[in-house]
Amino acid sequence: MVFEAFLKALQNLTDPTLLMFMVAGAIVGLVFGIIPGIGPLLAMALFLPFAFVLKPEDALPAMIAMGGAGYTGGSITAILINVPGTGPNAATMFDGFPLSKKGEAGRALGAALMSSGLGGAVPVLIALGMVPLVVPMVMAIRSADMVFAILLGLTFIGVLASESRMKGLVSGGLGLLISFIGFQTVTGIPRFDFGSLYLYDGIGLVPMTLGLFAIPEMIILAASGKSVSERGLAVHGRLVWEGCRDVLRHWTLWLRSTLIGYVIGIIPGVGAETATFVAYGQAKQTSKYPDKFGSGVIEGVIAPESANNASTAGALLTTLALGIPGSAAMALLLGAFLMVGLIPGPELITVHLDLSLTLLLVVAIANILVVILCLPAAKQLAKIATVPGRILVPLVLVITFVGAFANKGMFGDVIATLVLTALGLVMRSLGFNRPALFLGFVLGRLFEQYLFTALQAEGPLFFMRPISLSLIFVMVMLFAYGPIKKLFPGRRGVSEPQ
Amino acid sequence: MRMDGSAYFYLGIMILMVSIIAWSLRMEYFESKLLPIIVAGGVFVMSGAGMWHESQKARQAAPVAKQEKLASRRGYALAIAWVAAFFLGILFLGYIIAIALFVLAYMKSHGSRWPVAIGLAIITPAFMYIVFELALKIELFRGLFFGG
Repeated sequence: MVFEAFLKALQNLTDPTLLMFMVAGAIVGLVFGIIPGIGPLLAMALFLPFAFVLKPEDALPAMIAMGGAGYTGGSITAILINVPGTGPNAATMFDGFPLSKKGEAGRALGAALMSSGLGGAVPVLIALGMVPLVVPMVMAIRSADMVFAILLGLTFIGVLASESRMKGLVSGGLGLLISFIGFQTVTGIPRFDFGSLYLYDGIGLVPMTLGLFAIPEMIILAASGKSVSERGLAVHGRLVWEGCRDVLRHWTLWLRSTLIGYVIGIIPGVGAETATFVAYGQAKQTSKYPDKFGSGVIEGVIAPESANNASTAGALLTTLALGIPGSAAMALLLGAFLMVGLIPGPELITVHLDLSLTLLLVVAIANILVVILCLPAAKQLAKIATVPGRILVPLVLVITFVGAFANKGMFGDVIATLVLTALGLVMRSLGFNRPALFLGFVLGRLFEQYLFTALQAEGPLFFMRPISLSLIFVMVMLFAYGPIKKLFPGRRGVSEPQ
Repeated sequence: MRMDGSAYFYLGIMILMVSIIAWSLRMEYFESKLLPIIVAGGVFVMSGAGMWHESQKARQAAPVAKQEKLASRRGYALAIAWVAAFFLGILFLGYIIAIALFVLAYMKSHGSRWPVAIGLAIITPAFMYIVFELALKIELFRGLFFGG
């Protein structure tokens, strides 16, 4: 079954429309990744309304390519102007920018691009290798287990992905409650709709995405009153190839960092940011000259850049197999799946296995494609970061407001977007966890559906199954981790350079 | 008890959760009210704990300089006003006119030269019209003044 699906996936990849959307997605992701503070998440959010009118086989690869390419783009500005294009590129700055100041910007860029490309492509092979193991596991999962898998995903995101676990958990809970607005499938009656016809259908995914993520970012950029970046540095072509060779010279470091990124990517909620810092930490700890880290060593660029792209393949596997997104970008992708009528989880890894494999292969191809595009054009691409805010803000706001309306042709969606913008802005400024709220919202209805199916099928003791009990155990351990850590304060963690 | 922004936000959530629980209790079916009550109850308790924690933190934190706070607030207020103005423009004038006016006004007020601002104010709505109205056959909102 897996082999046939793999052949079908390879056949899918020869479709010119799919290839066109993948290339377009990679370029858009790259451009958004290069612009600091904007990131591929915004590109995916802006693309979501269009995903509705496209075929799933075209829309989903485009979104995945955007997510994958964004991290690579973000490394360019991290190295050249000391401003990370995306969050996970922050660790690249520590040694990337000092290398630029030493006149070795090209070398740092070459190493970043090469390690990103290989780091994004090779874990896909690992993920593909894991599919035959994942399929029987996923087929053993029942509704009861899905209830706890969703709860575990929310707990992971809430507890691990924010500074304050209370803020993360409250945000996740709010997301669940927002998903309860409107018609309930179990009883057929509406809830919390205030008698409004618009709210009868519930809040749409597009207003939620644009309101929570897109407009608040533009308001913050507008409030700063500046362009994203005004600095730039020269890149010498010869050194770019030297950087590529550096990755091959440090292949064991690259492999370790890639594996770290992949494994961390599988864990929901931990995300690429953690992966890059852990990879950077291990590179420093295993180095012969750890004290030189932070002053411009090439290993300090290779490790985080391998890890951040590798985490995408890991996060995608969890999203596809369990329907639990490993990151905010994957939560958006999950939303896109639901919009086009596909439910990630057991069905996607069994009935639509060919599509799942196609998407995994898209991650690999998009990563390699971006490197091919970037290597000769790195110098020119870095100029994108200097696009002034006075041009960027109105254009993105226009796309956002048009996208909010165009999805269903309802002005209510525009109003909902504005209300959610207020919520997103408050949450962002107070440090509440927007991805957790989004995840709660996306998974809320599925959670309720699985819960009542499990209750009907297996009664109130539906959780007395090995998988459910294991998931409950992991959740308990996750909550207990903080207090246990406090009991042993002397343990050394991964430190980031000053 | 000293309260900061997060503590006030938690307080707002707690009030909201009480109303959700009260509303849910009046629902007819057990299946409808079960999860809203459980989730809202949980969020209420966590928000209470969060509020207490934040107020403790606020007591120890150093106050932010008043000038800095004011400048940041003014920037936010101005940016929010632009978004609100764009929304009202769409509501009353419709997408195409509102986009043209918004792009022109925003760019000009932020120091763009006239040719660039006018050029983008023409290209952007034209692009949206071609993509959405002509290619995707989605009729954009016309605005209350024009029968939307």
